[in-house]
Amino acid sequence: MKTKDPELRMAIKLQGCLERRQAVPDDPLHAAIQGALSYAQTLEQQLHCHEVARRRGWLSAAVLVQERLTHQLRQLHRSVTDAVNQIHPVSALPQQTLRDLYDELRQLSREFSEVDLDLKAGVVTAVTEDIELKGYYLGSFEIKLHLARLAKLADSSVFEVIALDPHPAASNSEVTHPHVRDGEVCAGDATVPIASALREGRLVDAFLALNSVLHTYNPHSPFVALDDWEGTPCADCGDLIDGDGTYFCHGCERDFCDDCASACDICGATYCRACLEEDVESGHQCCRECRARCNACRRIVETEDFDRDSGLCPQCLEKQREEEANQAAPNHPNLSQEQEINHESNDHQRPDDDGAESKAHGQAATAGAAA
Amino acid sequence: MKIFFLNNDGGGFADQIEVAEGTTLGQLFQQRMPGCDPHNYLIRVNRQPAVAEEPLTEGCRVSVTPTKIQGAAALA
Repeated sequence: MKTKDPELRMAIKLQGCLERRQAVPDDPLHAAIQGALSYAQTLEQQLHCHEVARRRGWLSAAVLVQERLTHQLRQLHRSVTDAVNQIHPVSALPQQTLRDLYDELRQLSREFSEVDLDLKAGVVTAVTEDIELKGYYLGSFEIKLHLARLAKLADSSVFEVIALDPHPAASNSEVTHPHVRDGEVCAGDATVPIASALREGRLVDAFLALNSVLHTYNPHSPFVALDDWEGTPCADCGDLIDGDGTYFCHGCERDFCDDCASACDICGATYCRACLEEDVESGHQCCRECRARCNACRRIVETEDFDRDSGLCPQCLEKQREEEANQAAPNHPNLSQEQEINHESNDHQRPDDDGAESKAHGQAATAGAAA
Repeated sequence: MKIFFLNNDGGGFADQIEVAEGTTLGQLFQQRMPGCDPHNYLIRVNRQPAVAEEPLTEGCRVSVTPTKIQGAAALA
């Protein structure tokens, strides 16, 4: 049957996918049990946190974790009930006909302002309205249903969620929504209804359920909490910093928090700890502008103590001078005698009384004979 | 009369249920979703939006989808 109607052509492709998937044994109970297990695992982790908080006397933290425990327990109860319902599936809908699938696509265009049917790629795309959660603007999203995945699976993994105007978490650019990471949505409470809808070919129900997930914030289980959505991550510890609390390192030119930032003890400029080095003699932390390295011992020296002419620290410079002095001393062992002779000869040349002059001359003659 | 009722809040199963002749959409919602506010749901009859006063017909399909569903973060 040839037709130019894109919705009809897409409905035909959909029918083919659903028929291929139905040829594979379906196990909706497996998906439901997996959903319950995920809640149980989270509950176990939170219980451990609660025990740690109580053991360490962190009463406020224990109260907070207890609230989460209660919420998670209710989630687990609900998911187990859903899983039990899967044991005896009660869906009474007849199998979707081609007409039904065609109507599904027509309805999709009414439910969403923008729908795209990519026949070549086998992708049905619906665009959400702009989403804002707790005052954080996240933009609109594309909800993409991949028919190739639908031919094998009937769960939320057949969907890809793409941010059209990304406002990702500051700490992780892959998290464009608290419940979307790297295009994959964690459907949470929508896991089972989406699986049921996809299994029965009720595409609109699956799209609407996913849209509801995107419009809801679950503070108990996000990839990144909205309270931590914005800010600048410290280049050292990774903690998010509010705008006024950042410290700019003049060395590596990155932003740091108050705990990880430091300052040069010489010039006072802000640097991170990695851009400062210590002069072990003075104990000062020095930036690259205020330090040098001794050519002899290779230690860091603050520039105020560094001798640029020799390229040495004070200790090595003194040592060098001592060595130089010692090298000069062996060639002139009676240096003091020579000085005395010169002194005496100078005295001889000066006008003097008769006695002193004769005496000086005599002494000089004696010294010359001794040498 | 028998109708199809699709509740996407929870298990998301389709039930074929018996309702009295003349039952309206609003009445059905109150019966099947006690204590819930209809404003928190997308309610469709035969894939079309409908008003609470609309009477249901034999074999019609009523779907109810919450506008708010809590997602989660997948465990690592």
